[in-house]
Amino acid sequence: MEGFELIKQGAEAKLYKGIYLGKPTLAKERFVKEYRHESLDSFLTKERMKAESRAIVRCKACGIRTPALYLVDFKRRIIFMEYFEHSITLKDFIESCSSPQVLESISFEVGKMLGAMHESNIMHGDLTSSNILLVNRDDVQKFDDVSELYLVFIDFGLAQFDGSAEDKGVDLYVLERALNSTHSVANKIFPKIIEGYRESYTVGCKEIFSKYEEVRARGRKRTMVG
Amino acid sequence: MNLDLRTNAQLQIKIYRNIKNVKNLKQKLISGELKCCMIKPSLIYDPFQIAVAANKALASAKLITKTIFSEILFNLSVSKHITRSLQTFGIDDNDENILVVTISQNGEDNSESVYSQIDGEEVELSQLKNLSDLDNIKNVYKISEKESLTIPLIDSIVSRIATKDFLSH
Ligand SMILES: Nc1ncnc2c1ncn2[C@@H]1O[C@H](COP(=O)(O)OP(=O)(O)OP(=O)(O)O)[C@@H](O)[C@H]1O
Ligand SMILES: [Mg+2]
Repeated sequence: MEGFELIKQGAEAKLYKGIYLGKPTLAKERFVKEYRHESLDSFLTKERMKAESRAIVRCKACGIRTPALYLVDFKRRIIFMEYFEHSITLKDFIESCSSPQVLESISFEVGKMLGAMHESNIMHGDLTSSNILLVNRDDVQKFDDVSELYLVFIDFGLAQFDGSAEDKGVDLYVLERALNSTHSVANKIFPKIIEGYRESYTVGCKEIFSKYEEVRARGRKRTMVG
Repeated sequence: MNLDLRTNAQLQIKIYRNIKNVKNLKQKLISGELKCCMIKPSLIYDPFQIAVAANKALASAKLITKTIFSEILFNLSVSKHITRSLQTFGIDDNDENILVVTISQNGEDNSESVYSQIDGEEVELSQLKNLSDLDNIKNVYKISEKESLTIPLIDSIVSRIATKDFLSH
């Protein structure tokens, strides 16, 4: 990756940062899984890249900010997308935030967007506080005034679009678990997210919550047994 | 502007106004004598839109259309219909303003020979904003009010161009 610097080596992909077509760019390269048959591996990789791009484009259609896509290269297994230079992950934001009111209002916003996403039948698939960014609108490295920030969802590699109430419930449960294991203030955040979710997802979210409760009960039982 | 390093290519974009010989230019485009892409400025919001479409054309292993220049027009459109795409973004006999896109690759550059055939006045690229027709652009790219309220228009446009081959927009 000439002209790019490696910033992260994940389980599925390598992330590089650089300038592409004159813009700050993130290149997400999915690596070959040697243990898989070659043609199956490239088929599955292509499907994941399509799902990720589709989710990114469909989120925009319902007004949710996601990185802009610059090139989807199936042969090189790379998606070139917008890199947000002046951003912090929701995870770091939560950990450094000392105002309960600010945390509540951000959580409510996250919930509203999540509700809109689910209402459009986009399931993120890997909701965590590292997969949501807060970006400064004025291109400065400053994150203490919420009115200067906007939310961006990233990392849609596991997105799905079938839209059953069960899948949506699972999406919420995955987020709750991720927050619980990352943040001591999780019990202040998650209820606000649900509140925002209910506000934007008005029709049909009742069934989702009952699925969510079911999944949650199963999850609890599993952790009690195991 | 430099495209993907692998393509070894650079893009030049110019705007001309009050063109007197559009008919003639169009014929030369069709015959292949003019090695460039001529685009309706009304459908271009930002030069970056062309960069993404041209980069996609140059980075792909095989072309869907006949030449790299028609491929840029095709990529600009979200339609999979070739003729319709070229008609929408390409120039008509009665266009007076045109965007001229040339590519130099591996150090080879013949843009001057293209410019010398245009009978019109070159204006600054920053003039583009006076020529783009936002409503028409949103219409062509199928961008709803809801989307354009919160998403920067250029993000919506380039993301559609980048995915046109496998998503339907
Ligand atoms: N477009 C972007 N702009 C700015 N930073 C980004 C962008 N995409 C990713 N990052 C940063 O890189 C981190 C990892 O990105 P991403 O979640 O896409 O990769 P991943 O390999 O799936 O990582 P993980 O396994 O931690 O989820 C993010 O938490 C964020 O800090
Ligand atoms: Mg991630």
